Amino acid sequence: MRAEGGGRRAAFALVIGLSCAASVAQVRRPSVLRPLKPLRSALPPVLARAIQASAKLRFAGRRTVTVLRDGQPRRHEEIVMRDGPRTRVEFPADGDYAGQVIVENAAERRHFLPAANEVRVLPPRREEGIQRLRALAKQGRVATAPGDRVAGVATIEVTVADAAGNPLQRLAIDPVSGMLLRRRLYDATGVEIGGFVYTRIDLAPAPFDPALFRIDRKGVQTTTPWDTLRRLAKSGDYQAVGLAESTGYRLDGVRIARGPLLLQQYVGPNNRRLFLYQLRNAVDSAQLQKRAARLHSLSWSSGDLTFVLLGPQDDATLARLKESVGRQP
Amino acid sequence: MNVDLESGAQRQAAEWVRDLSPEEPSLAWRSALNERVRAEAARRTRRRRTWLFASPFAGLATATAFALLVFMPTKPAKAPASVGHVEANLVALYEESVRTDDIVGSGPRPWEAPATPDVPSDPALDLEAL
Repeated sequence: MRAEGGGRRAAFALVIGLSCAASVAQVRRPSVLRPLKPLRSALPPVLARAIQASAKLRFAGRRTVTVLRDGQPRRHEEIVMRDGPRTRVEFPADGDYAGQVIVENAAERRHFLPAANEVRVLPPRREEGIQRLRALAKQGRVATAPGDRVAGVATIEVTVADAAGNPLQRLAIDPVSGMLLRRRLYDATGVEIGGFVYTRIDLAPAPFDPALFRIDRKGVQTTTPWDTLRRLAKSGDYQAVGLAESTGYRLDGVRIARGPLLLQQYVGPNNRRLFLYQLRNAVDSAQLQKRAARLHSLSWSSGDLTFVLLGPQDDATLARLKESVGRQP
Repeated sequence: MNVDLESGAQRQAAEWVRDLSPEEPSLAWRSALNERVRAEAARRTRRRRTWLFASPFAGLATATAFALLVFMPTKPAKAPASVGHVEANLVALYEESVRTDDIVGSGPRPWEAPATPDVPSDPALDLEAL
């Protein structure tokens, strides 16, 4: 009993002591009001739902993807299976992508090309497009309206426009699951430049076999974008140099683009894009800055080549990254 | 004129001419000369044959050198900065790539795999109809 009474007294003393300490802390708090945090631009609930759900959805569906190239719409179909962070994409047997398989998880993406018996290992991409919506919505205007039925699912249409009201994207979202069922993109003149639409969707599929999200094939040639870089650099007389992965930027794609020039595409922290170009033209930094509104650039010469870093990163980051451009092992 | 011919100086000169011993080329000298002529003829013949053999090659070499001079690819000098075209292309490529990634998402980028022709049987997303 006595011990119990002592414990109660000790607890009472502790409560009193904490209360006094809290009072003192309250007194020491500056009397001026702290500035309020700036209000976050409110996303429409359905868009916020889509962004949140993108990494957690489970579904199996079929979609048509359209990309406008040289003024002509090019379409292909995909069979998509998603289980949270894992994705598998297959292609119908009657298309040019027949036999190709893409599997992706949070760490990497593997693209199997049967004709070359090759598996390309790349950084994952799935989250980039949907996450960029958040930035787009913050920069411009967002409006919602009742949408049509897409793949049999009632949707809400979200229009993301620039500050002047020109539509940039139109999205059809299932408000229940947050599934993005249709996406259309527009250029500066309002012309649709591509998009995708699900034609079939099962939002509660049977459990997936884990093997669906792996590519196990013996004798296959495994390559990375660095192999592509070395091959293209050799054939086009460019330099096989790029950003080391220790910088936090992963090489996501390499190609010869119009110019001609060698284009390296990187994905960095927070899925931020960064491009490294090699070309045989002089580049005017002022002109480049004038044309890239929200981008930064840094250019330099090496031999007969001009190198250009272009991305949303600040100038100090670009300068640091430039120093790390070197030959890869 | 006869007076001049009969002058002392003329007579003296005539005596000197008479006193000169007749000189004929010796056989040894003639033989040496013949040897030299033959050697010279042989050298000329050899030179002519060598030139006949080498002249096509010399012509070919000259033509090759000329062709190389005219057609040899020279390293192009760095093109001067155009009025913003190069820079505009860099920015356009960046924006196109980002937009394409928004469209294709987890699918392949158009330049990563063989292009697919239009799928007329599925008008689910008909750009022209919009």
